[in-house]
Amino acid sequence: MVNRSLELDDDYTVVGGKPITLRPRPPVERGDPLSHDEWYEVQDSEGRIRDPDKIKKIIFRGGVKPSLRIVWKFLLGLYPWDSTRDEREVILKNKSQEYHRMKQQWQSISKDQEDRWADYSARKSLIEKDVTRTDRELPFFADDSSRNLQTLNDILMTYVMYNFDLGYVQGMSDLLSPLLCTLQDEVETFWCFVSFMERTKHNFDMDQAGMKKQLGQVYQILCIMAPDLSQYLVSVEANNMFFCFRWLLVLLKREFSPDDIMVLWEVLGIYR
Amino acid sequence: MASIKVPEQKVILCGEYGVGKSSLFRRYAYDTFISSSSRKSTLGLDNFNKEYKVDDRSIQMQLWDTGGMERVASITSSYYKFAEAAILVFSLDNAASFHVLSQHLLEIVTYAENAKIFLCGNKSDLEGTTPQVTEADMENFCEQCHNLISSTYKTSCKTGEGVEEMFADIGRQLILSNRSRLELQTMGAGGIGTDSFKLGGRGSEEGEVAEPPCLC
Repeated sequence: MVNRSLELDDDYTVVGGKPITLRPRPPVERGDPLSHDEWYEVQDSEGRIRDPDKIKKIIFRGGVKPSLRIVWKFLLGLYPWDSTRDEREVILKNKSQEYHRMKQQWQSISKDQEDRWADYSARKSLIEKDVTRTDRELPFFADDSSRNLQTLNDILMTYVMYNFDLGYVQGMSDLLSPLLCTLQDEVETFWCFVSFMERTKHNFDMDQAGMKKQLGQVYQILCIMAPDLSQYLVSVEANNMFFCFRWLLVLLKREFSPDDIMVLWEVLGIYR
Repeated sequence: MASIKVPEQKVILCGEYGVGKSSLFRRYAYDTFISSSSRKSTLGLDNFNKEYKVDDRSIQMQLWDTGGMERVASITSSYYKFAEAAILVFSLDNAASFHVLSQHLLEIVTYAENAKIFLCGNKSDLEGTTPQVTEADMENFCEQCHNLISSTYKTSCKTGEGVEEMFADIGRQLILSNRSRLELQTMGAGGIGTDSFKLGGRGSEEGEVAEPPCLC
């Protein structure tokens, strides 16, 4: 086997050589998205979801019909699958109180206090800068005076009070946006975001250990799947894989259209 | 096809969130400005190459932009590493973004000790009649940091004012500061059939022994 690289121009290089051959992939058929019929079929008269595994399987094969994305609230654990409609009402009431208590906390911080609280005002200013540049091409956020931009800001600020140590890190607004666009309710979106962050918080570690670990894993996979490419990356000192940083940080959110990213996250089980 | 390799010079953008680093990058790379409706925060790294020419000398200026990655030293150091120039960017309508620059300056001198450093006040279109950061402030800053700053600029990515001029000037300065080095390389390659130029080999024609550098 001849391994050689062909210089095309200054910007791109074609790396030759054969990748390792894998066994043929088992045929996988994409299913239909979860439909209303299937969703109501598994509920008993009091609204318990009797067969969550069946629902999860359908979502894994085909995602969820856009009009049925309330299912995320179950996937993200806001409501237990076996809760009744009445129980869910109580849960929401309690969660709402808890949310508004934390929201009240930051809303009652005066300008004076803020001036003597650098950690807080640093987080606040980061959020302000990012909210104005999050998914502004979507009609939902397009208007400068949009109520939704305000909600995005309020949820992130309240999250700072919920988890001050993690606080706010760039990229979080990107993860929140699809949740808010879909669920729209401020309280429900907040708690779904809390649970989503539980699953993805290591992307935002202060020492970036979570990101470094994943970048290392991507490199290891590449070493096995495409050894020539991995050697090439070593030769140009790019094997730290920093160029994948954005893909991993916000779970490919910036690389797909808003509609596609929701389906992708559903089938990848990111909301589970 | 063989071509003469144009030397690459890494230029990095440093500054607070939201001062317009990516807008400078975009003006430089594509001569466009994106209104707030479709602007996004930068996550990760971006880079773009452009050739600059002075007389018969060319360089590839490789501009680097980053966002959200700089929290740890290992990533920061690799961003700064081998930078030939660093542009400290602040927003003329935001005094805080100016006062924090000394921190960025410290990082530059730590991780990219040989980089030429430039100061850029962006958003000059928002400066208004009572500027948040005056030219006197900028001069004071340069004095305070012992004239580490090679030049200062004012730009507006929105109108495009000053952007091309700034990059052209930085490109020119990089070429000039590299000229002697490039000439040494050319002499080495053309003269004695080897592409390495050994210091002290041919330099001391008068038979002098080079003195050790003064360490005072």
